[in-house]
Amino acid sequence: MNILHKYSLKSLSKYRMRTIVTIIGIILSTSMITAITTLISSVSHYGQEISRINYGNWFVHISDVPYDIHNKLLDDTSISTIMSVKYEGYSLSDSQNEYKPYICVQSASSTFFENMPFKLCDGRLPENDTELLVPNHYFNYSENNYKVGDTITLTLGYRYTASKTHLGQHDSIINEITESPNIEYLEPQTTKTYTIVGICERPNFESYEAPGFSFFTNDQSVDNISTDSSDSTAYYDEYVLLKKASNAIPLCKEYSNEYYSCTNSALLRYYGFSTNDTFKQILYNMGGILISIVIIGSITFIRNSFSISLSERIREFGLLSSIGTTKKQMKQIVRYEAIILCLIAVPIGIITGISGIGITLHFIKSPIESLFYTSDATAKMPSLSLHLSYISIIVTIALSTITVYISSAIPMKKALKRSAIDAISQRTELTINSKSLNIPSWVNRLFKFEGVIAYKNYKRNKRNYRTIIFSLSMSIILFISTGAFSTYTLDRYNLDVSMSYYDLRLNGYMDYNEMPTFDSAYTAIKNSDAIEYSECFITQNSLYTLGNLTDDYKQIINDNIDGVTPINITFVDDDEYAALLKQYNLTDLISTTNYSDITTPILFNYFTKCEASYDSDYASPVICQVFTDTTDTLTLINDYDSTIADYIYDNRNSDITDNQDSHILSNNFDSLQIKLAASIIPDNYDDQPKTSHSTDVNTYPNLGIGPFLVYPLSAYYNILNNCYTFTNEYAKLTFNNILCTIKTKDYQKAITLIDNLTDNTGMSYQDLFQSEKENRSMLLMINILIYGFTTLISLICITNIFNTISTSMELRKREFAMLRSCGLSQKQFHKMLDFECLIYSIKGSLYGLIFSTLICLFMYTRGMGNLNTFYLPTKYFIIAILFALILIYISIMYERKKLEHESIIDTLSKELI
Amino acid sequence: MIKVEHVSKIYGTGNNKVVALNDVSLTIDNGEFVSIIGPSGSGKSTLMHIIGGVDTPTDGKVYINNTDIYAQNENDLAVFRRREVGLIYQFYNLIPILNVIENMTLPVQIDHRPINEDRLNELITLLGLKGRENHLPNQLSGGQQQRVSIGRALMNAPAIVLADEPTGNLDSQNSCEIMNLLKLSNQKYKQTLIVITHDENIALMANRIISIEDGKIIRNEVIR
Repeated sequence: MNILHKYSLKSLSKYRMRTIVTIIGIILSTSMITAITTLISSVSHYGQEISRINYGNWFVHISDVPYDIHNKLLDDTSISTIMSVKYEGYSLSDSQNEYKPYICVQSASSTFFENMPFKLCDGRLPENDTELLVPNHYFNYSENNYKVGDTITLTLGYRYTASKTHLGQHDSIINEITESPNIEYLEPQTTKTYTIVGICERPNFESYEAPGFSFFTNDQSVDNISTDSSDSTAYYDEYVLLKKASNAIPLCKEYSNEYYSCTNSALLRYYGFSTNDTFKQILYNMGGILISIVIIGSITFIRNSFSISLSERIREFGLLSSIGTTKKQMKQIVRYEAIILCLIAVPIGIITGISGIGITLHFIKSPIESLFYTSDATAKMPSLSLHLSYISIIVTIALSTITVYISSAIPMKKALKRSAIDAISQRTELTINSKSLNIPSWVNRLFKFEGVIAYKNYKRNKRNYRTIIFSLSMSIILFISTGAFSTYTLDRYNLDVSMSYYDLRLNGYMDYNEMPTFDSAYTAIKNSDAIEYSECFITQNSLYTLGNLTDDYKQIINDNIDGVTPINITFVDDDEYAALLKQYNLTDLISTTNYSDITTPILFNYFTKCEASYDSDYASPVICQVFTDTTDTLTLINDYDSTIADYIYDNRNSDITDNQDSHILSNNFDSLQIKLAASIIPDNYDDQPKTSHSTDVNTYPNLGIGPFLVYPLSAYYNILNNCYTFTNEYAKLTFNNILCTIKTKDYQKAITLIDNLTDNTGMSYQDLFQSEKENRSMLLMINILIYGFTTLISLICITNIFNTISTSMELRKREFAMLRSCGLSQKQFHKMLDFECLIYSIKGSLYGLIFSTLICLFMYTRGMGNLNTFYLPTKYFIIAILFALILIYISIMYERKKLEHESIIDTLSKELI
Repeated sequence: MIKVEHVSKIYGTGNNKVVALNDVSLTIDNGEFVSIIGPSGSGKSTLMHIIGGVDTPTDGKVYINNTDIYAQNENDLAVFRRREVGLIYQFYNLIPILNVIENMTLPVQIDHRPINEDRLNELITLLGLKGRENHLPNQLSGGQQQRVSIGRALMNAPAIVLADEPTGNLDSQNSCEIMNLLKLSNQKYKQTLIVITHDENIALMANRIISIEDGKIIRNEVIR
């Protein structure tokens, strides 16, 4: 073996700790990148499979192209598969749909039938040009009741405009009413007889505006270049699959000027070619952030493990240079080292990554599969399987090799910049300032002379100290960034998919006379041992109120009539009413314990509206004050004959101002004045009234309903009978919206009870438990992935900190031995190291915290987390600092113990570690 | 022939400037044994390092067999170092992870030339390293390490051997043996030998003594 290669191998073996740590770092980073890219690749691949089932296996559709373009496309080498559909012709049918009067017979090859989403209801697909497949939506408009086996004779012709332009399935019917005088006509071509062999569901690739029901026959020759002169007047619809998905959008654009063309965006997005796509944002952007964290972490880690022993490496290279090693030969050493390390670590990392994600996928398969669905219930759903991305594996290998090479090459380059003897003697390593150092007095006071030595080392050996601080702060930044990513992802998920504490939601709509039925049903629920907890909300929304409205409110609702605005009445469980009093500090104001006697409501004087924007998926809600004054009375209006409601509806789109003469204001309202117990405006969106299990009392908080009055449930009959003394009997005229949320103890038993109750009362229920099962699975999947990733990153960080501290201590062994030989006692030695530990911890933490905060801010600006307010993942900050401190201290303690047992003179006489 | 012309070496700038060598010029013939003496910090090692091509002068030129060595590119200078110069340091500077044979044959192997086994065996015998061929430096005594570094310097049969206090860390017996070796090598292979020493006895073994003080040659005396 070449001496230089031998030197590389021996060097790796000699600096065992650094070698092992570097190998671990490469394994961890390679496995994580492989895992992330394999996951993305597997999910994308699965998405492609599902899309093919749902929408067909094509990228670009070009409609109604003439014969010469058809042949041109068949000849296009960038196309891998082309499925042509030839227009055999249109036939006028007896369809009652004036926009779809035709039958459009189209012929296609077997390849087309295999690759497009046909859902057979009866029979089979056609196999030759005498057989026909009929879509069943035709029967909705026709009296013909074709069955499999029937024969049908059709006179087929081409559709043309008056100016002789051919019309296809993307050209809706041009009739006298719409586009005269350029109305279309049918030019007969041929008469054909077909046998119906199959009936299918409406093909989803048939345009809704298509003027003809798509009937299909089979002709294998349509996919071949035609030399038959009779085909020269034919027109075709093309479905194209390209060799490279990246060419799909350009091909579509190329033909879009002259022909109707579109892409199969549902399929293409899984190839990464789609715009404005939440899926792409989630999978590729988030995957990108994850991979960036891993790459930065692994580069830092690997570089650090080399840079710690930089000065020693420079000395080695200086020695080699003095003996006559050329620059090229030194590069050879460095390259060989990088290759050996990567040859060992990268395959292990790749295998570990693939196995790891394979095992993980096995457990999280169901929630991922549940994200996808097929509209064809009869289709066999494929199973999510592992799909490797070979490009990413190659990129991972390249990245690791390059990082290790660069890390090894840096000391070599530094050595070459100086003369050989400077590199050997390390004359230029410690640049000492001729000015004497100012030692702060607290150092001497707290740590005595030992602290002074440590402080001087920190001030003078800047390069070494900077390397350590950089490494420590990078570990902290990496850990906190990962934690922030996890927190923001989960919070964002919880925001988008809020999961309820409750399992069942009961809904009903009853008038006053039916309420006793509900009472007994609710009593049965409350008394059932299968139910752990329940809440009830009875809401009436037929009342209006008259008051001075704020300008903000008037602007938002845009249909007020000079102070008249709808108001809801809500009755809540007495327990929850008590909780509300506590939430808003009203227990002194409403001190009665007999809630059935309460006659005055709490007014929630606000309105919520979501400011939705087409640019964002999430709308930010706004709390808006409704009434300007805060008096203790309110005028309620009973709109018993819907006069107000009708007026608002009729004038919804016009601007109604205060000065406008409104006839409604001249009416005498059926109204009465009520006293209010309190008037509340929440401080912000999160301060809205909620029950003890976080159910919003304003039951549709995002839809802009408000203001509303709240009473305790036990006061229901009293309020309606004795307090709401409108001229027109309100109780009898109003309807009650009932919502009951239930948390079950025994789910099956509770379902049986609720089934019985709903059968008897006419109420209905939603099984939240089942529908949220998907969300729970998804949350579990996200948690598994995120916590798995965080654990691996944490391993990198822990190893990095330990390696940094222990290696730097190892390199200063001679220095420590010299100090001990001069008489530094063990206790003093410990004190010196404690002070160094303090400096590293404080500085490393400070930089780590500052940059971590900036990274969190960056993530927030990229739309992660709760979009309302910026917040830091404090938990991770605290964990990072605490663990960094503990690890630094443990590392120093470990090295300290090792040094104490070594002979002073042996250490002094050794040249290198 | 070695020709040093107006060589200066200055470290640092401004108030921290240190003039290690101040306009030094000298000529050494092929096969000469020269000793350089002077007090600590006088510039002896600096001069030797500049002659050996391991340190660059601030000013001046160094000609070896009429070639300005510092006019060469890095590659050629490295080749010069491995073929023409054998450097022996006071603190051995062996590669700690290579054994005796590997350390000794390092310049030859770097030069991609086959190892002259006869020469190697001769040197090992001459240097008293028989039986220690596979030992690492940390398994050798100081004297043995110094012998290895001499072996490394002589293995390529360089034209110039530069020894910086080769006996500085050795006892008198070892010192004597080492100097005899070097002298033998000088006589047998006609190598130019330049030795830096504090030891008067060693200095007197040479053909010529050069005294340096404060970066200047103060005496250049042929003694035999």
